[in-house]
Amino acid sequence: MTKKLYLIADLAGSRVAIESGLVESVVHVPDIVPAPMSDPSIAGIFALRSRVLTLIDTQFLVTGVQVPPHKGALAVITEIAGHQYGLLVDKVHDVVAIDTEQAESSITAPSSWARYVTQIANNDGALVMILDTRALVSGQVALAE
Amino acid sequence: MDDLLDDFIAETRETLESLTNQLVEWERRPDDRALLDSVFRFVHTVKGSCGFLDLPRLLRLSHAAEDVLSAARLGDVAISEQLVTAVLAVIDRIAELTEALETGIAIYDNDSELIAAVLTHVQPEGVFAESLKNTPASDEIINDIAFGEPASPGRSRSVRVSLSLLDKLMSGVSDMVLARNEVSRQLRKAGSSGDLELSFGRLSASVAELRDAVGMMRMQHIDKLFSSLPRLVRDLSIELDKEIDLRIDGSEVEVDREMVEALRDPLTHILRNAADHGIESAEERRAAGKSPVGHISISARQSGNQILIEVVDDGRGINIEKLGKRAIAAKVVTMANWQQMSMRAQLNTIFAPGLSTADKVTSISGRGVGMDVVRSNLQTIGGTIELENNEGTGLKLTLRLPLTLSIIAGLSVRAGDQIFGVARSSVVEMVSASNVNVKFEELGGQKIACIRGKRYPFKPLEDILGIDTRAQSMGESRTLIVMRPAVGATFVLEVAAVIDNEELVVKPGAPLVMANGLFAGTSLPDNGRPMLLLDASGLAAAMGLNAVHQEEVGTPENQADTTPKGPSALLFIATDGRKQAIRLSAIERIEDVDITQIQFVGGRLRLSVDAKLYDLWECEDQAEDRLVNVLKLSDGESSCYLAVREVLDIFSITGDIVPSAQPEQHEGVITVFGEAVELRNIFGFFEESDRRRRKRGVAPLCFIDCADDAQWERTILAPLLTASGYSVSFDRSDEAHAAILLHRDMAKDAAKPDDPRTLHLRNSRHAAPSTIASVYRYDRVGLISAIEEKLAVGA
Repeated sequence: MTKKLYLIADLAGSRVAIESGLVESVVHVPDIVPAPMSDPSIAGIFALRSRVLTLIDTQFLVTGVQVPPHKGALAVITEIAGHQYGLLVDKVHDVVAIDTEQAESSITAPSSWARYVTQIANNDGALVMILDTRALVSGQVALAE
Repeated sequence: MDDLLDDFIAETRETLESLTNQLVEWERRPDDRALLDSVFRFVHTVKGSCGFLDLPRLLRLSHAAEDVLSAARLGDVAISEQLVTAVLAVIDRIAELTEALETGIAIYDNDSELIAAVLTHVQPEGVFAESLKNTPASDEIINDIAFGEPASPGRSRSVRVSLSLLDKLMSGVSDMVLARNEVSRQLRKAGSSGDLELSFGRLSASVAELRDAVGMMRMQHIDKLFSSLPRLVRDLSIELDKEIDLRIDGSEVEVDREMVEALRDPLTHILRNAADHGIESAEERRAAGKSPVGHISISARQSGNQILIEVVDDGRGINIEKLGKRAIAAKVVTMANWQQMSMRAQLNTIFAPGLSTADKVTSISGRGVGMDVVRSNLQTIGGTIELENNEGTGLKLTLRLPLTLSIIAGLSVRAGDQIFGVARSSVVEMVSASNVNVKFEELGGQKIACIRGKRYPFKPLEDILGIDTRAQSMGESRTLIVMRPAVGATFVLEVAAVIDNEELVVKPGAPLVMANGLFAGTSLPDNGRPMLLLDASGLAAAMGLNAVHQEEVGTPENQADTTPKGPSALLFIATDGRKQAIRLSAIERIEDVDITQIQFVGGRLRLSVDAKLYDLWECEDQAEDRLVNVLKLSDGESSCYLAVREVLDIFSITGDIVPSAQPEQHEGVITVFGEAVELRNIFGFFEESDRRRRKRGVAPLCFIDCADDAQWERTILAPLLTASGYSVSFDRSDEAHAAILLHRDMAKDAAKPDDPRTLHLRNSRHAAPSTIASVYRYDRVGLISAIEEKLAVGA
């Protein structure tokens, strides 16, 4: 039995899980400064306690529709490859322990999600997609491929 | 044990770095005992540590080298090039193995071959195995140098700190600076009390101090970089069979630690190129009437906030014609383009990818992956490279680098409703778009800005970044920024406004943001809104410019235009309402300062900027909007400010300068746009402050002979002397070399033999009936002139 802690959040209307060890905090994003000519998955940059973070429009990655982010939106703060990012989420629920060995291998993530999901797990009877945060910040290569 | 091993690795690495130079020197001067000793000592230390740490391979290698060197020290073996090469090979292997200890990578074991090569110099081949046993003879010598020479004196104490810890500290401090900025912003918003303001000021000052200290910590002598070069040149000269003499100057210049790493590759490339292509073979050199030995000199110096590194060789230089043929063959330029290009632009094609003028590809260079890599490496650290080609007699490369990587002087500019940062180093000048000297032209859909007759490609920043400009208020006066990216390609960027001028802490942005090449990083200025920093080269690329094409725009006119141009000057309205001019070269920047920064202290108006005080000239009461326009003037060493009412324009001084009747005020009178204008004399602004400063530079030492608790001497006399430009000491050890000795204790004086340096002070205004001449202690003028008299006599 290997249980790990995951943060359960709503993203583009679906329930996802992010390994809690990767999550630094969840914040309401203050002023967002756009980053022109960047990858469309970049919602902009914002300041958090004297650091500058990059905000990822996760909704765009999944749905392909850019949502203009608003001040006060919720973001999960995580560090990937030495850079700090905020991943926009609709809502955060709870931190729960999920047994990843009990993955639902017969169910695969829908194609629009496939690139960002490592596996599908069972959390108290509800299915959640476990996110690969690294894939979220690698831009929209998936569309180009 | 692991700790010991780590220490061993670090220590060996450090010693190796400093040693390579000495090895090369040693080859040149084989009879230099000191060099030989230091090489020997290194090998011996390694040997000792290896035995202790149980590292057999290193032990064998170091032992063999030690044997040869000890024989050389005894004079049993003549030092030859082969010997040095063999010893170097062993030392290289020691370096490899030491690195391998850390990385765990296996190194092929042909040590015995290396050892054999070394030992052939001491013994006939075949018996070298014998020497692997400890020879007592060599150990005796070791004792006399290892213990006979004390550790070099005067070396400052230091501790070894892991790099990651240092990095953590540095990023912590930059975070702290940003946090302080945030607090300062919130304090301003909340409207704070005086007390709070005061303690915040103190915090702020200590944060600034800490930042400076950490900044210093990042600094490293450029020697770290240069020390490996003599070895490189030595190896090259053997490989190429050319004799090359390398001269290094300015090893003590300090640069950012990261810069040293970033420079290593470019500099190696440049040196390889110089040795391979630049320096001719000895016969060719003789035929060209040069000395058969090629010379390469590398010098580093600091100039303002830049580091200049010059690499000069006396080789054949770049053959422009050949370069042109290559460039055309490699389709870098077309034949027609080439012919139109200026000399400089032609020369700059050397930086185009895939180009080389070498006739054949050697193992050293000539694969056409040299100069473009050099340039792009330099660009990434914000540096530039310039060439000065003297065909037939040599090539000079000048690398310009920013002093630090993480904190830059920047401007914030507005495009649409967004704010961006620009490194000030890439900004040449800023002009209002409505200025009479600015005209816009169009050429085949491409917009061109013409500033004072000089044409530049031009684009609004909003267009480059795709920012909506509809929201913008019409009729607003926009600003043109003349930008010069890393390599000579100048262009004009139009922005909605230039907002501020500040020091920016730059951090790298996320790869996804940086991928478009337009940004150089992110920064968090005082207002708390993050800002993207624009990359000048990236912008040029986005405008469809590259360095080669750049120079063509308006070239014929340019040349005709620029040649008769005089020095630039700034036209302004002085605080007394008169139109005046001042030479642009003396102006560091134009600023608006808040009236609260101006104080009348210490007998004159002064301006406090970033906790430093500067002299402020000609500031009259003009407090209607609390902001004062000032010019920051600099003579290269010190700065002062000149208040002005309004800044008008920049122009070139043409025609004669009519001498002024008040030369201390005005350099002369010049004609600007048909109007006679006084050209201010910059000299006067610095004359006074300089006079004060120079005195302090050679401050004569005054020794005050008094009791430890003598209050008058310590609280009144010493500050008076210091303020008058003398240095003061109470330390009896300084008595012997002090220029002036001051006494108040008359009784003691009488007993002492009369020292011509002694100056007696008395407590009463009236001279006591005494044979000793003295000065009343509160007679300031008398005291100072007495000191000056003594000094004059002494001199």
